[in-house]
Amino acid sequence: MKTASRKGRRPAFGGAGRAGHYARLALALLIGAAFVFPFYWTVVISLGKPGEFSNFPPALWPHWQWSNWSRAWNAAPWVRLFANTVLIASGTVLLCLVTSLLAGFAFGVLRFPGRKALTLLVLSVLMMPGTVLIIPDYVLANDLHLLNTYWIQIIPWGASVFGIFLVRQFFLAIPQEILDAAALDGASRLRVLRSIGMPMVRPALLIIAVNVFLGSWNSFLWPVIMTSSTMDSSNTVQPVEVGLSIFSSAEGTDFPGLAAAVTFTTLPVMVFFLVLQRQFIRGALSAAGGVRG
Amino acid sequence: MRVRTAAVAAVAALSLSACAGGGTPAGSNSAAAPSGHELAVPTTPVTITFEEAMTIGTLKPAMDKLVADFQAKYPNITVKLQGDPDYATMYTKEKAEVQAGNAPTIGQVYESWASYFQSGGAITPISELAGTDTPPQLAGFYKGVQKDLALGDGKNWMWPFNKSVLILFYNADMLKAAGQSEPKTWDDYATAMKAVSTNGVTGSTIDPGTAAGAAFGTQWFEILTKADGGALYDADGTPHLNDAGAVKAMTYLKSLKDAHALATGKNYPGETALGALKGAFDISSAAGYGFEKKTVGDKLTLGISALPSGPQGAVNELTGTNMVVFKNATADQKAAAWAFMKFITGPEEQAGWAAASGYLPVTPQALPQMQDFIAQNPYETAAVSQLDTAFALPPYNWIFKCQGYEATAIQDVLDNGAAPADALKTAQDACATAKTQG
Repeated sequence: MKTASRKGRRPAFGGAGRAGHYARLALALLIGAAFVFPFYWTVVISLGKPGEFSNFPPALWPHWQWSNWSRAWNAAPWVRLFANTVLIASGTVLLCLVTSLLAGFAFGVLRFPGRKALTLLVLSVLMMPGTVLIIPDYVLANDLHLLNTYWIQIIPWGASVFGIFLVRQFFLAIPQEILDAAALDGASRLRVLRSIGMPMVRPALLIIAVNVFLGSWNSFLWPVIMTSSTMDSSNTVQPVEVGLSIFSSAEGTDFPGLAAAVTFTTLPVMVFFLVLQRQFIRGALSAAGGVRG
Repeated sequence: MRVRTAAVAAVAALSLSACAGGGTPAGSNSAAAPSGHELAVPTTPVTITFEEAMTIGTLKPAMDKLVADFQAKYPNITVKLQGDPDYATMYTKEKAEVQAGNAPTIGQVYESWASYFQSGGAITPISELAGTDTPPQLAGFYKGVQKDLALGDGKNWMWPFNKSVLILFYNADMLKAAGQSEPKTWDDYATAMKAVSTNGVTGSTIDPGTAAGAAFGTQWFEILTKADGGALYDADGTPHLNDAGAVKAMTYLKSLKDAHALATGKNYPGETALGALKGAFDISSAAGYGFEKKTVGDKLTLGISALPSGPQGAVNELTGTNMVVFKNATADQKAAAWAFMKFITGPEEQAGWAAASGYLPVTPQALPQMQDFIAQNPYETAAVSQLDTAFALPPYNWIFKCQGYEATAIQDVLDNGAAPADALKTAQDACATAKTQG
């Protein structure tokens, strides 16, 4: 049975077929290596001797200098910073999903005076460079007593123009008849949104969640300006990205220390993805299936 | 891309329109008249804050020691360090804090930043702290450092902090193999750069800086210009970026690039190339010695020397920043801040700070206490001697922007093949406009 089953799944290779198979395998390995190598090299640098990062051609084998890791580990409260980042990124994603869904539904489904003008007004925010606003934003945050809090790192980023626009486009693609039928059956607007809208815009929500999470995870300037450095403190509200800056100074960078910190702060995220990658892919595929109707 | 609330946008627009009026922080422009008396060190508990870009980085132990030593001497004064990851972020944060009315007590500043804050009435003159514009300690600083503390009105508004000059790091083994010796003039330097640029080696790789700010490559261009007898700026900040000396300096860089002896990069590229045995020279701050040493490891014999000379002799430029006391501090905080600034620039603290950080002591009185360090780092003697003659760019707000235009010109010439005179004309026009805007 086992043999038959395997035979059933695997093609029997002839000369050309076998060559093609190995070519595809080689290509897959090459692409995989291209993605893995930067992280591998970061690990090598983190365990390397001083100055090794600048070698050309680059060093490919680690020298197991664990002192770089202990130096990096003692440089900041990493567990706290990591927890902060997870909290801030998750909170921002949650808020963004809610605001994108509600605003996208309003702009895509509801009919009200000034809808187009309001949509354009929201989209126009895309044209405003964020760095221009940072000083007035700081002044506002100070007036609201939000400096040095988690809130200032979550609330201002809790609405995404891209997210609103994406959800709106998905709602525009839903046949009006479906929504009308629900209304005729007595469904309220919120019921229509929950029972019909949400399942159909699930792919958009997934895209928004991933984008917002990555954006929040990589955010640097905003938390640096809006929070004060208290790297010695276990009460810091700053994220990992800010913590990593302690390895740089005006005169140079401690590359092995930085590489060590990057490694141990990235590793949990990579493990998380590897463990749950089947669920991620299945979720994305099933979500994509939802729009075919 | 994300959206903020309408309220944020409205406040932003209001704030921006407010900034557009003068481009400086709100506040009166009048400094308090000198009282003639130095502020006495407070005896009651007081906390001061110091916004700086040193503790987020490898200099944290050295900064912490300065604070610990001061607090041991003045137990009633608490110094809270507010570390920022880099100078550009620190400037943005200081501007934001001033706008919001919660500036730190002390801030680390470049000269042009101090000018920006002073024009908005946001900082305190030294005379208000010391009772005189020329406190006794001033005469003990190196002459170049002394000159670096005044703003356009001729009064002292700053106090020195982390100062340095540029020095030349080189791969002595590579020079020897190419039959070259330590270059004494910029002509020697060009010859050596071209001689070593074979077999995949480029003489040196520089960071030309960006429109957002200068880098060591920008400062090298400024030094070359002055060494050639040019003047990029008058004392009042009037720019002459396409002065004949500047064009000559830029042509010098272009000739090195054309000979494949010079390349451009980012994030200390000269240091990285030196460590990779792909470069022979790196012009960098003396304070970067520790990083250079770590990068090259035991791969080569690291040579260190003063910068080569030009027709006008040895020319160097001050790097690093100063300190200012912000206006909104209380009287006790100002007194405590003044005590702190004097303390950390005293000979004993400077000796410890210089040895631990790599920055140069601001006073020669620190040298006798640095004999062990100097014995291990002989370059220190040559570097500190240049603190007497090193120049600083005029302390005006627009100079920071103009250095960005210089950097853009260098990029245009070295990376895009523009003619030196054309690129510098563009920079000059942009800088003149920036000066007009104030």
